[in-house]
Amino acid sequence: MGFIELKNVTYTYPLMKTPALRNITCYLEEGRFYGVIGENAGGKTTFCNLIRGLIPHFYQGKLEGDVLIDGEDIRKKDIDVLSTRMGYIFQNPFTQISGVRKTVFEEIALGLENLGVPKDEMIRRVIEVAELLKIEPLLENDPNRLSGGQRQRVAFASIIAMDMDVFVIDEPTSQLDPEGTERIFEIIRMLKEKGKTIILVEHKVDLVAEYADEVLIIQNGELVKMGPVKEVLSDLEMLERGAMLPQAVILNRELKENGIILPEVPVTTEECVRLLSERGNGHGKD
Amino acid sequence: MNDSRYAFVEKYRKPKKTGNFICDLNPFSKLNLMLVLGLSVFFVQNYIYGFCMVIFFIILSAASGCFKSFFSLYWKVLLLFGVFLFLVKAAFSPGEHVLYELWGICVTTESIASGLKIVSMVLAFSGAFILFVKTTPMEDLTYSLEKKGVSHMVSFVILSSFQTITDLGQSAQVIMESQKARGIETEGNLLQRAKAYIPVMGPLVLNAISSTEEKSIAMDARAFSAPVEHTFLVELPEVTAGEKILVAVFDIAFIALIVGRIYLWVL
Repeated sequence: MGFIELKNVTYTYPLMKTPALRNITCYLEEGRFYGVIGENAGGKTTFCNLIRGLIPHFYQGKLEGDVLIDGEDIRKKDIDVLSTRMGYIFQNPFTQISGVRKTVFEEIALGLENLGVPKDEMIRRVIEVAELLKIEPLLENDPNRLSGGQRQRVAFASIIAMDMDVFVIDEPTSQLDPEGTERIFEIIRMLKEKGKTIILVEHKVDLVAEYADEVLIIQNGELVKMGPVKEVLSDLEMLERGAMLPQAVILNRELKENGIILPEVPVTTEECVRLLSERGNGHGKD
Repeated sequence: MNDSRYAFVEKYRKPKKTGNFICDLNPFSKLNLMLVLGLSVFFVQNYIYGFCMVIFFIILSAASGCFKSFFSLYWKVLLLFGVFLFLVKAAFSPGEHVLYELWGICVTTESIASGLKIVSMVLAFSGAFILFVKTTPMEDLTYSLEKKGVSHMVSFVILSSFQTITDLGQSAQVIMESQKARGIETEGNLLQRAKAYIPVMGPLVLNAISSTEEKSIAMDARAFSAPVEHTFLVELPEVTAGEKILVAVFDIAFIALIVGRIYLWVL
């Protein structure tokens, strides 16, 4: 999967008067990790549906502009072929379980069966992702009787096991505790290291700041800002436009108001600690 | 894989077997046998044979280890259809040897025989059907269908339809509990229950429709329609020669029964 390009894309869902996305233009490179943030109902999930090809193949509606995957118009792309190269983990874990498999092990293997993966390889991959996500104790359980958080991890494992080129991930941690969230992000980092392209919708902006290469802010159906993490998330103007910014950026603003000036705007906690300790050491020397 | 946590995985490496002869029959063999046995009562036309078949299916259910789940459903059929059909037939079928007569109801020796015959046929056939369903996991049936060339889509529709019944039950339960939490009376007499149930039907159906849409997207995310040959984690064993012979013997006997019955009708 080479790249994804959107040119002046406006999309309106069927029976809706106002567009869910307006005039979106962006270019997503192969092997990069893109964090998508923004307010609720701002168009983030629609953005995911668009690049995953569900719009216009599944949701009809009115699509204007061009969505190009590897240079080919999404309208002409075979969605069945696309499904073998682009994994999609979506928000609601309750409907992401197939409902037709009796154990979590079989549930995770379902996607691999569909891809025609040989049995031994299938078993190896299921165990591998189960260990990654620490869901080994669930493997023999009925997937229809899991809690929300457990389902979310199983749904995530099911797609990760398919080992695709691109992963579109829509709020994978909405039902997870901090430990589970951290683990998911570690796995996403591993995927990135393997050269996968990741498009992640997430409200936990501090984690996005820590892991992503670039950030897209989508508000009210518009792409407000896109660029490298540091550049986008250190822009305080985004706060006025309703976007959430990392704690480190907010802290920096407070420090600045109290006369403590850091040499640059930190976007992660780690960076903030480093800059503050450097400043402290500097003062100590003075 | 030496890790004891994954001992269960070994079952996937071999064709699926339960160790029970009836359950381990190929779904098509089982379907064939159940159809032959269930339909035979319509050609034998003898209620003693019909009731023998009913007892035979109950014994088979015990032998296959599913007596409890089989009988929990079968007794309802026995009671609902068996008794009702018998009473109607016995009361209203024509006959010469009157045993009891009251307000147009005329029970005769012939009407009782006719009632017993129809009840035995319905019960025997439904027994065969229920036994097949109880001894055949749907995923085994759909696996066999796919192996015979039926599309992956059709097998998924069959499987998910059965799952939808369970899902609807669970959703209804959740909605009813929410109603109860709001102080709405959901228990009591028939009228009270109806008052509680009828308003939840709308949201229940709408929920089912919306989750079907999401489920189809979820299946797309699992590359459900990928243009490649699918593989299977759980596989069924090949049909043995003995099983083929068993099915063939029953089929030949059934054909002989049909021919014999036609011969008797013609005569």
